[in-house]
Amino acid sequence: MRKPRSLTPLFFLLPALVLMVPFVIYPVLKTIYFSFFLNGKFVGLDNYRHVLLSSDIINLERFPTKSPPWGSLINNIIFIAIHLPSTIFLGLGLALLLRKEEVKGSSLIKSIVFLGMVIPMIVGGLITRFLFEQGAGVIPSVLGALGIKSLDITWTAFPQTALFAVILGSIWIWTGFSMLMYSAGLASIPKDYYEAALIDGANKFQIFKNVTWPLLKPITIVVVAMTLLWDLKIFDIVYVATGGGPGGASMVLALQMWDYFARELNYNYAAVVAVLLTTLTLIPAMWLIRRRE
Amino acid sequence: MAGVRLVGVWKRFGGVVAVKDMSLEVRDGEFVILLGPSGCGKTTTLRMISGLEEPSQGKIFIGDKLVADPEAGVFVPPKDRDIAMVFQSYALYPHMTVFDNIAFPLKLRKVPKQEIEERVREVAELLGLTELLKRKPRELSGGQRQRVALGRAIVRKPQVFLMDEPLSNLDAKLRVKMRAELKKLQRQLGVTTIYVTHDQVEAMTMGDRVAIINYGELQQVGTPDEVYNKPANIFVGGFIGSPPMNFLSVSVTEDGWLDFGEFKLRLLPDQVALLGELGYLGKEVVFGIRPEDVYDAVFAQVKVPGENMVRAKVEIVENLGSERIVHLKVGGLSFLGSFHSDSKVSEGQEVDVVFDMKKIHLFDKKTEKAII
Repeated sequence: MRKPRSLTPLFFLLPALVLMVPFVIYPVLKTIYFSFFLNGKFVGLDNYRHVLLSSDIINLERFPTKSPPWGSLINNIIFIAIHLPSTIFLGLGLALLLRKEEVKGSSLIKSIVFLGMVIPMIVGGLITRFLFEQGAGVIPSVLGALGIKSLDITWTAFPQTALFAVILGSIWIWTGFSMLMYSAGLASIPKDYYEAALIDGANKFQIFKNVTWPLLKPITIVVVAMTLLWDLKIFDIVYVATGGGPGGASMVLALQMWDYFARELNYNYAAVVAVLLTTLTLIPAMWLIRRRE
Repeated sequence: MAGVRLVGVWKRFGGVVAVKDMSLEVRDGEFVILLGPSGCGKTTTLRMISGLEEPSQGKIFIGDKLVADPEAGVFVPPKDRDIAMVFQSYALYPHMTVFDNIAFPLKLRKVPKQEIEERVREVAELLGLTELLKRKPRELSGGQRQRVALGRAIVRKPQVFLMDEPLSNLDAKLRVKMRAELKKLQRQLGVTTIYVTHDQVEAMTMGDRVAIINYGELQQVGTPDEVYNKPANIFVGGFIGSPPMNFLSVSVTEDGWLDFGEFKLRLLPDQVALLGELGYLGKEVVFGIRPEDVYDAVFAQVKVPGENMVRAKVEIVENLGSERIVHLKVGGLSFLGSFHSDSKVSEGQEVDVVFDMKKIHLFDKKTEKAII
């Protein structure tokens, strides 16, 4: 005889559910609900059609032949295309260079690199703005000194450069995370593997290719997933550094959502962007959870 | 194939001397064991031969080739030494299959694919790994992993095998089996092998010769029989053999007796002659005897009361089935005897104990070196 299903597990879930239902599940469902209404009327997929076809999100008239604005979804994709490989490459490079046994004072340098991660994002945005300010920031000054006059400008003020200023600033902020993850990953690889490879006849590059990189795969999965999530949700840095401008040139989805909501007071369109953004972030999040299991 | 020669090799880590003036010759095709307690420098010696560690001083030859000599600025990296190493942890690459693990050294050497396939299959067959080639290391048992590690070493057909405690992660039963397999394999391949262990049973059963190391210094090199029967010093005598050799302080009398204070033993005429020649008569020495050379008088063939026989009190009896380890006491002197399993001794009893005077060892008190 089968035992009747017990309600006890549900009972233990209750405290969590008491918090999850009103503060997470209800708002999510309500947002999805809103995305199908306009001015109190049910409009089906009209909101989605409008938002996705609007030049705010994807501007195929200007992308890729003309200068930005290109639309916030495209900006997000460009953001990922540059930011993701750069942070992985830089973080791994720094972690490899700053291995404790090889470099004196490596912890200090690591702490400095990691500073980007601990400062508030608002401050990170301000620093980004400052870094790219003509006459004050390091980057225009250096580029100017190198004779590249076209980039000796306030990057955040021009549509051609605003998005890239934000992306480069984000690389500075986020590299600390990937460096820290890779440092921990490297420390967890037993020395024997390197020594065995050395005896088997591998050179430094072959050791990296055949031993280090494959053994860092679990770390790389986490770094890729977390970076994708961060890139998709990016808001504060853009908000402070450029405000999404000039003329929407550095607009990203999260900021677009806020813009619809707070400036245009159209919370239905904002809900559409929120649903889109959530769907997009769910892809790397689910992938990460699957891989971790 | 080639032998290995160490000439006056030193290794210092900062102020710590790990290996001290080590000179050792391993002949072509020989199986030599480096044996010693933890931290004695045996692994460091092996790592210097492999090229993972550079000596501070001295020369290392593999075959006729000088591979390390800091004074002459010679240091041949591991990959050019034509050696293979088996690690204690096996160091199997977890992301590669058994096949890829074994094939790895060949791939690095750009061996043609066809030949890699053939050689890996050959080695797998030799080690009974054929069925496991597609598995990952985590899907293997300890013994199987161990064999894969061996396979990775064998496949390259190196001049020298270096093994760093390869059996210490296996359970006792498997270790006994692998001990015999490894020895057979070495015979079959005829490759010079240097094997590090702290387990004297492995050393005695596997090695053609055993090099015993303590505090970074080579104590004795010899066949298992030599190091067991003719230990060069107190350390070797005490380290080899289980239960360990008994050591008692004793004075040699002018008329050829060993005076323990509590009792006396009569030396054999040739022993007296030798001690006289070396000037030890009337001096204090360290007496050593293995427990199996201490008999229950019932089972002794030669027994002369007062000359090689004393009455001792039985403190504890440890029954191992095949023998009885008996803790004996004469006055204030304690020692062990390994008695015949039929011995009827019991705790608290007094028993006549016979010393096999042909098997005794005497060591100089100061230098700790063997006299007899």
